[in-house]
Amino acid sequence: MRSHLNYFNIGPRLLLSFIVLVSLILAGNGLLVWQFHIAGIQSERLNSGNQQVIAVLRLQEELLLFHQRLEELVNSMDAHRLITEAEPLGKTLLEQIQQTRNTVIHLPPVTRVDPAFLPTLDAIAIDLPSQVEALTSLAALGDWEVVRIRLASGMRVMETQIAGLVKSIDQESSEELTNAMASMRDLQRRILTLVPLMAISTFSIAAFFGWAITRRIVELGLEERVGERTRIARELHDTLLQGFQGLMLRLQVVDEMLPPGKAKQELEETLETGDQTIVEARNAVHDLRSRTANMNDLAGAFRVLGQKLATGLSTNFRLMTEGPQRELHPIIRDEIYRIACEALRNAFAHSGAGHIEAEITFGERLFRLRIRDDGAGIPPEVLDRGRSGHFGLGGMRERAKQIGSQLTISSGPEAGTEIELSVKGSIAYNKTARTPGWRLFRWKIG
Amino acid sequence: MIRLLSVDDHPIVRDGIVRLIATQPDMKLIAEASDGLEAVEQFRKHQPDVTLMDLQMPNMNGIDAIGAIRGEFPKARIIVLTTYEGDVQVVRALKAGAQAYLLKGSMRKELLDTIRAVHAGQKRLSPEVAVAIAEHATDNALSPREISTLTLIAGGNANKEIAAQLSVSEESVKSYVRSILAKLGANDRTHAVTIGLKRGIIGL
Repeated sequence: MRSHLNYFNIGPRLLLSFIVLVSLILAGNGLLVWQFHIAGIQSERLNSGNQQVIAVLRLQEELLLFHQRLEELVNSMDAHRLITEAEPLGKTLLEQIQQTRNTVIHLPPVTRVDPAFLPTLDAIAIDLPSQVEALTSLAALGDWEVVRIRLASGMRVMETQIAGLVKSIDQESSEELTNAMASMRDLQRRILTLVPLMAISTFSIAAFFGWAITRRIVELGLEERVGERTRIARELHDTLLQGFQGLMLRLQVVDEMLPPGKAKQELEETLETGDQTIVEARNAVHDLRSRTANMNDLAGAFRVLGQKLATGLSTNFRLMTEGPQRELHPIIRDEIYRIACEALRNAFAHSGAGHIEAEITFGERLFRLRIRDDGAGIPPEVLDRGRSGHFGLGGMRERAKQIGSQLTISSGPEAGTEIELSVKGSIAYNKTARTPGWRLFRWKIG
Repeated sequence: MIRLLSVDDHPIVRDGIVRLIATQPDMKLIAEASDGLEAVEQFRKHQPDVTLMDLQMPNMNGIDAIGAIRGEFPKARIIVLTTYEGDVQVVRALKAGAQAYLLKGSMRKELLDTIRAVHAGQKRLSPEVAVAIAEHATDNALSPREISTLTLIAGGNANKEIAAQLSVSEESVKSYVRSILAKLGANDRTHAVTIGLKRGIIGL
């Protein structure tokens, strides 16, 4: 009848942990992606810085070649050649300038282009044709000395401009490189911190999930056992007990038929025993459902049990509790009670001890039960295999295992016996009975 | 001659009753039924002097059957035979019109006497039952809504599911639960269910 909703109920604290961890992982991933993005921009900038340097150097080289070629022509003092070749050379250089311009314009937007770059190119591009024209017209006059001077002065202006540009771009680019190196180191450091942090978060979330699932399995197991128990109780009640009631009536009929005598007396005694057995069985069936449900006072129950077992014996029984008594999960409480019953019965019946002590510790994280005696101790072979034909020790271990608890039995000849049962607080305590706020919350979701 | 109708869904119990009655010269079992509906039908047909009625039965339970029979035949005499000794259950059966409430455990010794007493117009209660009633005579009874809520809690339902099944808000369910815990003196929901079962407020 429980809805599937319940299977996802992991409790508020765990839910909070999950949310925190998932946010951490998401934020970590975001940061990491951001770092890579920054690295990408950085390398793009470096790259385009290099491209600028290359472009401007190439232009400088072309300019020098142009200059050299013109000088050769001037030195040949062949006006015709100069006039015919100077113009195409100038055009080639202009094209080269245009190409450089394009390269610079098409650099990625993140690039810092030297502000003097384009104006310088423009200036050269405007200046160049007039220079070439001036040279050719001077050459046509045949005054080669003037041509030489004109060439040298005209080219010097352009070469100085380009050289200045080269210097400035080179400086910028090396600055950029230094910055990039520094920020790459930062980046590396950040990534090196982020990656392990995220690994830890991922691992913790996996561990949390594992823990939550285990806890849920234990809880589901307990719920299933409550259901199973209810079913058994109903079956026993509906079949066995009712059947016995009917049979008792039939035996009563036989009793009525019998003449007074030994047989009748025997049957009547049997019927009385039958009545008692049915009452006991009915109580046991009822107990299957409600067992120690009214017995929230575990310490009180142990005290009563210990006193009951101690009656008529010279054994001294003492009960100690540590920490405020807390309400236990009903199934766990039952199992603890039964393990304690068995341990106490063994101690009273077999140890011959003068003192038997039970100690209950209601710790925050751990529930612990210790039962010790100063008796004869359990023989090693019994401790190993459990008394043959005796369910005792085996049954105790079985029960302890079923509720996910630790049971240690230590005993030696004439050294007494100590039994210690530890149950994790998260399993042992009834969650509905913690703090009021918690309780309301649990009600809401479970 | 006392003419009897025996109602119980357990054949072995009915068989025992048949045989016990057969030993009595002043009684005669004239009909049997295995659930509440059949009981009403058989009663109408035979109109027995005394009816022996089990409570937990399929189709129609004993208390409803008692109500139905007494509605039609106000003078019907009915003895409840059950294993439940919860005070609330007993009071419900008596209010429905039963004259006697006998636990199955004491049938062997007291059934025949009880039949004769009820036939003579008396009322009878098993001593344990009388004690249970006395214990809670002054308690506040649960309202029908609270009983439905407790039944659903016993079925392992969460507040949300209970709210859906009763068509009320979750807040109302919470207030029912608080009221149930207070009225029964229970520590928690599990404890309330246990008390509810013990006192016969809800069935096993």
